[in-house]
Amino acid sequence: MRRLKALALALAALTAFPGFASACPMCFDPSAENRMAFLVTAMVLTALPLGMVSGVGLWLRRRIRKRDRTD
Amino acid sequence: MESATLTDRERTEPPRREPAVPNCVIGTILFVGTEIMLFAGLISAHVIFMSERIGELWPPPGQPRLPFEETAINTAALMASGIVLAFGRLAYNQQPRRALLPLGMALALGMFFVGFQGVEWVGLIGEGLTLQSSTYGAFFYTIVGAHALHAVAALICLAWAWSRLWRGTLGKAHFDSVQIFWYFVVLVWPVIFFQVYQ
Repeated sequence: MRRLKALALALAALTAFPGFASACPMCFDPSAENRMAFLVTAMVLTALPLGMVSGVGLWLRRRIRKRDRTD
Repeated sequence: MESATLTDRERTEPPRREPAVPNCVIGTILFVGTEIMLFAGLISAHVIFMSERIGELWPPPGQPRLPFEETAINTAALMASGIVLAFGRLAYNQQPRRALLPLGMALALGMFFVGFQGVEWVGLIGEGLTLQSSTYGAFFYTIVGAHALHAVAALICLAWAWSRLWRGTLGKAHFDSVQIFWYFVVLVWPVIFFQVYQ
């Protein structure tokens, strides 16, 4: 019960900081082109490392399985 | 007695297995991955900067236009070097010494690319585009300069590979590592070219 109260209090405290959220250029920039540029680059910079790590991981797994089959 | 014990131990050990992927190839892939992120960051910064300048006069007054057509020829030379290197790898599989010519050609085309860029930079500096002249110049020299540094490093690796191939000591794994590095330099360039030179 005490934990639940602390969680509710923390969530309520978050509503006291809307000013920080307004600083997000992707949400509040007046220029549509700029908002789109922020959105696209954020997506690319998030997806690129994840894609590379999973791609290399899958490739390594395939190579190891291939080697195990030939051994 | 001790040596006999060692021999027994050796006999009981399982035979060493070939690694699924050689260490130098893994190392090069990790290095190239970090460099891809470096260029992704630089290009993202440029994309955002350009999106803020839509509708403004570009390039800024007093700054030269980047030579798009001339650099397109240079881009073609770099792409050709990548294709030639791919043929070199196929030739290496048949007979390692057959890769000498394509590897040498890839090296020559790469040197042409870097040399051409050097000439282009001299011209642009003469026209007043420097690192401090504007954000335009700062972005140009930072992004294209970072790529040129990688191109020079990859050319040194290609030259090293060629010399080892000439002496008959270039292993497949080392060829692959150098090839991965060079492909990175080749494939990241069109993105930079269409982003920065447009």
